[in-house]
Amino acid sequence: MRDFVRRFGRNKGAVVGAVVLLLVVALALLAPFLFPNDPWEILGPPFRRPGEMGFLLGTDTLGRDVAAGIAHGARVTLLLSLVSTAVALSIGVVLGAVAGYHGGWVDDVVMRFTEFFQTIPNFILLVVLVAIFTPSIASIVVAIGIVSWPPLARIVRGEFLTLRSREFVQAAEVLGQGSPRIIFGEILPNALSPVIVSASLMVATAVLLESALSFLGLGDPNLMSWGYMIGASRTVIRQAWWISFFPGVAIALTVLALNLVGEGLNDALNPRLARKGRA
Amino acid sequence: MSEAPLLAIENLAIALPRGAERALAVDGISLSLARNEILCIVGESGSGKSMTAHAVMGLLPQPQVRATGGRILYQGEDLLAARPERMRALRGHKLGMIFQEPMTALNPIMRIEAQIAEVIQEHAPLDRAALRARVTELLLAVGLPDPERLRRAWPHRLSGGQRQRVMIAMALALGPDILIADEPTTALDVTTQAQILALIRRIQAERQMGVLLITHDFGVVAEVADRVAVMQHGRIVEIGPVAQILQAPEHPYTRSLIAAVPRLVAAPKPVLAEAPVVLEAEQVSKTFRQRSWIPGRGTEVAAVRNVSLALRRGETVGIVGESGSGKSTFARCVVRLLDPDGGAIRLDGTDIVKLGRRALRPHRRRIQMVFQDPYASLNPRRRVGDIIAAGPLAHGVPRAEAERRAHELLALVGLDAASAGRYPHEFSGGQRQRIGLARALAMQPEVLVADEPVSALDVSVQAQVLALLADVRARLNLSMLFITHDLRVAAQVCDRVAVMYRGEIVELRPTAELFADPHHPYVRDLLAAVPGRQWLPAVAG
Repeated sequence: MRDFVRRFGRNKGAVVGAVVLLLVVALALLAPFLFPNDPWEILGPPFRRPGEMGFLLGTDTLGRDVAAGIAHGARVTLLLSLVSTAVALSIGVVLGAVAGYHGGWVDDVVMRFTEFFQTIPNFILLVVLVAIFTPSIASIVVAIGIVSWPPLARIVRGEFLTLRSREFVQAAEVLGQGSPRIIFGEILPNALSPVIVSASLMVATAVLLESALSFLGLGDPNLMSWGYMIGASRTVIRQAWWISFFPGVAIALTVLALNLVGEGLNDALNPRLARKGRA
Repeated sequence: MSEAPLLAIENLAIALPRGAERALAVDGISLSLARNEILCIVGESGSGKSMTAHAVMGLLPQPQVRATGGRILYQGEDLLAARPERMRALRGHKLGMIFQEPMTALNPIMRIEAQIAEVIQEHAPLDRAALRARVTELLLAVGLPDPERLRRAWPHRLSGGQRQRVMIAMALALGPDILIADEPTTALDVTTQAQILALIRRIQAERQMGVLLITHDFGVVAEVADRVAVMQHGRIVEIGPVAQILQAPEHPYTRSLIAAVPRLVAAPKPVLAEAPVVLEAEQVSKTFRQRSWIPGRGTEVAAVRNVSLALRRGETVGIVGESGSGKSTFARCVVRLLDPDGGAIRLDGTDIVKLGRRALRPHRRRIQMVFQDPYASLNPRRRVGDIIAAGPLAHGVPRAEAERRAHELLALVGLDAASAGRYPHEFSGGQRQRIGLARALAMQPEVLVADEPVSALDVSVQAQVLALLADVRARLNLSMLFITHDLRVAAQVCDRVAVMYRGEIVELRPTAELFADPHHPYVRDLLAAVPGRQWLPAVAG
């Protein structure tokens, strides 16, 4: 564990990313205390520039506080992307593990099913799913999960294919351990590092997907989110740049931080694959 | 030996990176290699023998590992001080090298001719026709048949032995003065090994080369060496003519190494003809099929064909064969890691081939396996205690009971109880193999299938693990199926030996009889190919 922290710390970008990410999480957690009012509430005149009348990041077209929107939006964005990644993980890991462990026709069926999902452009499928199930926090989470799991399933399957021929797995089989026990107790812990790395990158993708949905007006109408803020103010970008600029910065920083952390995790979890010459 | 030596290593020291096992991989060794002699460097893993060879070639993984002292003189020129361009000119031209792993030493996307031609063009370019003639000549010189066809072949079409011959041809391409061979036959089967050793010997004599041969195998030493240097922990403990080292070793380490080499003579074994049969295989067959989308285009390999054998209580039957003989496939059928296509495997009268997964589970306990690779056979993410207790737990033994048994077993295999809380990577190869044995014994099996349990271990560790196996077998009255490619080990361990060849048992007889008077021509070849067969290690006093 200490070794892990040391290797992670060696990647400066990853440390910066982790710090930024912690700040975003802190912002999300502290939002109700920093901005006790509902972010939808009109608190002042519209189109105030950043800093004017005590509004740190200005107000939007209706006079809502942009800073409050970003803080409360962080809650929604982070929650949605984390939960949808968890959904994708549970589908992808289970299917990939079953396909890789059993092989043969099971593998064929599962992989054809996976490819079926991969042939449809992600975002179009997402829009269709959300449109059919009516936008709500649950349908968005499930839809993002459904479009994101195929790469995970392929990674897990690949790991299982190599690990299952290892002698320790054969030993477990000879001992008479059951398949679920072998899959989850023996093989999965050894296949976790690439899964963790791609899951961290998947959170970043989920942030982007969720923002894009909200931008199109397909977000949950009751929740303030960064994508919605940009979408709602895009028509006035020339008069009031700050209304769309700050949510955009928030998205960019969060996604960048998640990617940096993912790369750091990759270096720390797969030390042999890490790029050389950093010692 | 009046002329100056071809190669002289003086006081060479090679430093390992900080945090390694020891500071110096090679600690002040000196040796010399004369023209027209084969010098073997023998040692166990980690003795620094390969590092020495790589230092001569300038192939140390710098800057982590580098020579920190001494000189390596090639005809008076210090190679350690030579500039990279100079080393590049010498490598391949004056200094040839062959590696251990013929499967990975050739570039898979270059034809054989192109690989050999590349070496020649780098150092002494020839025109097309001369080049072709040279390649053909080299392929003939290393005993490869049909060079015209082979020239155009891709590496994957060649067997391990053929690839090693191609490697030797590449090393010889420009008539080097020195050939360095790093475990050149370790990855090869015993009959192929005998051929390659004979080839090295012949070429060395023809070309008056100096050969530096790195090996861990005293059999190889007895077969080819003129002089021997024994290395331990980065130092040369003994160096001298082969007869002196093999017959009258002086250093205690050399003596213990030689004493650990198993004798090729079978120890007399009690007859077990009356003991009840525990395991009986009858006409077991296994064919691997490669499916194809085009009907009729799939390929079939009959790995095991109609193998029958009976194992009595308390008996050890060895299954000996070269790679591809089907011995491991048969072992995996016996423990039902693979499903045989035909035949019966009876465990006390119950045919386990016909049982489904669920019905098989209670029988799993009775037949256990010890695996070959001590590094791959233990789950790196689980503690040793959990690994040993996993089997009993899966069969409904309460956790406290399973853990108590795990501790007992650790003691039985000679590890202390504190080992239970540690992870596999904290143990050496031999210790891991003990853990693997404890895991199998935790099930209280009646039959133990050991698949090459010692072939990945150093010879001294090998002797300890074999002794442990013998001890455990006698104490628990186990029956054992012992898979090995090593006839010396088989001679020591087995009551009866079955020799497998191309999926079939060609001879199955009591060990002593089989070794004294083999009937089948293949078995005769196999026995004749064991390196150092004539040399009987003197019993260390």
